Amino acid sequence: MEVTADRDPALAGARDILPLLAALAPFGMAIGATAAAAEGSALASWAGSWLIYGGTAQLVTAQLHDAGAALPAIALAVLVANARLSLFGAAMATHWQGTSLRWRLFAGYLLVDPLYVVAAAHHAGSADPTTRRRYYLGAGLTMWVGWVAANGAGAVGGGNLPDFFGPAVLLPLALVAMTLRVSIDRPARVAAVTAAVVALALHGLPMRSGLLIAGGAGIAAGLRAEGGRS
Amino acid sequence: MRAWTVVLAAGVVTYGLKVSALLVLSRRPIPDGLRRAGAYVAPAMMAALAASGLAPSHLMPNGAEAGRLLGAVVVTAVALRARSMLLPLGAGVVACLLGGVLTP
Repeated sequence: MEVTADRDPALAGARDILPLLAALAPFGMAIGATAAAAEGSALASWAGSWLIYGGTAQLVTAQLHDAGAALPAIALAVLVANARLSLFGAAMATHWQGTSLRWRLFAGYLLVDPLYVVAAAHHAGSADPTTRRRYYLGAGLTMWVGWVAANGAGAVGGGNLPDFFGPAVLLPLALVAMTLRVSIDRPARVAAVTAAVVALALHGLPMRSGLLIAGGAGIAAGLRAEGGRS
Repeated sequence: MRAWTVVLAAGVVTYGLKVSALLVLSRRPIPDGLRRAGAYVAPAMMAALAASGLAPSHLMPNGAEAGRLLGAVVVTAVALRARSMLLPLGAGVVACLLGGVLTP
């Protein structure tokens, strides 16, 4: 995969994540509006964008809160829906061996799907720890600022966005683009296709729990394809 | 007040998921199998999310199903040839809009 070549890795990171931010910002606005309506407070809704900082978790939280679910049920749903984030953390840990506790605590906070996609691709081609950190911060802070701003605009502006910008339309397109960006060789493509097929087959499972199974099946298929290549 | 409690709880759970593996794995040798598996986390999870997002949904606005699928096809076709993500996403959005408009 190509990543932006730039003298300043932070600028390169910001530049690489901007297209994804542009695609996901309307989704952030929609989440801001949904959460504000569900939680009855634009301020609490906006605070969720930086206290939770994860689109799926924010959406699940707002929907279950609106439905009157108990706090443990909401926490469990967030745990299941976002379990993939621990996989992202494990994958990033392979690039951040020996880094400081402060870095891991802060970098972990910034970790969301689009940042993982661009950072994993960059780190695979860059071994210098300082370059990696600057790239990650450039991309991560750009995403954070844009996401928090988009959520705030949605929370204040209300649900005036066309349906086109809702999570059901624009978000899958961004996810398709991200998938193709990280499917750089045959084993990765095998992993992606397998995961997609399993995810479709298990789409009806509660709390999106089929996603984790699909992800696991995809990873196993990728490893198997890798073995067949050597 | 309950809204803030819910948001804080969701935030703690999400943050815990993000940093747990980082805290455990960054200071000790990572097994080779886990390192190899890490290379497939992104393609597998992104593809699962994308497929799940493209599956029929009650959230889907009327008439937009065809537009969304057309958009996904165009994103795929363009992304296979383009280096940046801006072009495929832009083309996909246009195709999605056109497909939605043209679908009765």
